[in-house]
Amino acid sequence: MTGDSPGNNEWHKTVDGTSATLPFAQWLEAVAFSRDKQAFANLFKYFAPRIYGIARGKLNNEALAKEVVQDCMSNVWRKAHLFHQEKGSASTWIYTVMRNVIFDTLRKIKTNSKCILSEDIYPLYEAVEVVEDVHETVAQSINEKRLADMVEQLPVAQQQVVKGVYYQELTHEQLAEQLNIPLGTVKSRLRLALSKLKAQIGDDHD
Amino acid sequence: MIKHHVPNDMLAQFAQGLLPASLAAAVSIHTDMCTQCRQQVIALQQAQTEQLCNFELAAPDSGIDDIGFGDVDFDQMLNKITADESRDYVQDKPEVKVQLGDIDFKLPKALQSMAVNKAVGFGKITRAKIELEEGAIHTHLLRMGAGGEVPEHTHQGFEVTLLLQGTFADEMGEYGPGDFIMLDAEYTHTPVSSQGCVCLTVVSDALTFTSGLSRLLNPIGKFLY
Repeated sequence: MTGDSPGNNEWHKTVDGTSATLPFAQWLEAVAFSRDKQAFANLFKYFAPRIYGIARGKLNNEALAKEVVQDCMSNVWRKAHLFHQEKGSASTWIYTVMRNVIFDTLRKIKTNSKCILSEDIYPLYEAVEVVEDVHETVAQSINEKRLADMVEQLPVAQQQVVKGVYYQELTHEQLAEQLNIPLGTVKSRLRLALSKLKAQIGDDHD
Repeated sequence: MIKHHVPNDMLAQFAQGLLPASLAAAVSIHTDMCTQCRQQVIALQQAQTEQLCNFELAAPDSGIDDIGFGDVDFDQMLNKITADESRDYVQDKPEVKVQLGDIDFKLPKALQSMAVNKAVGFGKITRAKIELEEGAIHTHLLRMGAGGEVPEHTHQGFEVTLLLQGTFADEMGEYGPGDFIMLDAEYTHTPVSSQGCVCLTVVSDALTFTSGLSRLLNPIGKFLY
C-alpha cells in the first residue's frame, strides 16, 4: 500500500455490495439514456477491478487483463442501450460483455486475426432476448409480471434457484448439479427467496 | 427434434468464451435451435456472473495486494472511456450466401463474418473450407447431395458435425437439423444422406491434441502455452 495516492489503492475498497444492494440496472439505463457519467463511474468502480481480477486469472497475463478491462468497460459505455432490464439482469449483461471480450482476446492471441467474431457468435442483444422466452411464458398476467420483477430484485444466488425451479422446471437435484452447489444450499436459497417474496407480496396487500 | 446435444463441459467452456471460434460457432448455432442447451448456457452465465460479483477484492489474504493492479490506472481509464460519447449501434449484416455444389446456402449468423473458401467437390460431396487459422483444427461446410455418401473414414482427433439442414444417417442412427454429433478418436462411420444435407464440420488432428478431448476442452493451455 502506498497510502499517499488517492488513486489505485482505493479501487479495491470503494465499492462493496451485490446486485441485491446496488442498483446496477438503474445505472446502466442512466448510461444508456442520458450518457450519465456518474452512473457509469459507479459501474466502473464496481466492475473494473473485478473484471481485472477474473481476466487476470483466466489469461494469466497482466497486460492482457488490463486490455480486457479497457475493452469491456468501453463496450459497456458504448453499448449500454443494448441492455434491456426486462430481459435479464444488468450484472449478467456486463458479464456477457466481458465474456465476449475474453473470447476475442483469446482468438487474437492465437491467430493474429483482427476479425471480431464474438458479436456473431454471442450477439449481446439476442443473448438477453433468450431470457425473455423464459420470462414471457411465466409472466403472462400482470400479477405474474410483478412477481417476475420481484424475482429480479432477489440476490443473484436466490434468483438462480427460483428461476431454475419455476421457470426451467428443474428438480432441486438437477439444479444442484447444474450450479455445482450442495442440494442443501439449493433448498435453503429457495426457502430464503420464497420467504422474501411472500413478505413482499404480504406487504403490498396491507 | 434434436437428439444429440453439446457435452456439458463444452457448454461451460462456451459460456466462458474459452472455445476456439470453430467450436464456439457450432455451439452457438446449436443453442439457437435447442431450448434445453440454451437454458443451460443461461444458467451457466448466471453462475459466472455470481463469481464475477463475488470476486474478492479486499480480503487481506486474497493476495490482491500481491497481484495489485499492476500499472493499471483506473482513473485514467475511466476518464478516457467517457471522454468519447459516441455509441455503437448493432447493424444487421447483409445475408451471405455461398455456393455449395448444387445449392446456394445462406450462412447462419454465427458464420457470416468468416472467410469461406470456394467449394470443391467430387460427385455428390462438396466441401468449402472456413479459414479460421486455428492450426490443427479444420472447419468446413459439407454438402451431401441427395443420395450422397461420405466414404468410410476414421477420426484421429475428434470430429464435431453440426447438422445445419436436411438429414443424414450412419451406422449409429439418423440425424436431423440442429443435431450436434461429437465423435471421438478412431471411430469409424459412413454417413449417407438420402434427401441431401448441409453440415458444419470441425475436425482436429490427433498429433496436436495428444491428450485428446481434455486438451480441446482446456483451450487456454493451447492458446497461451
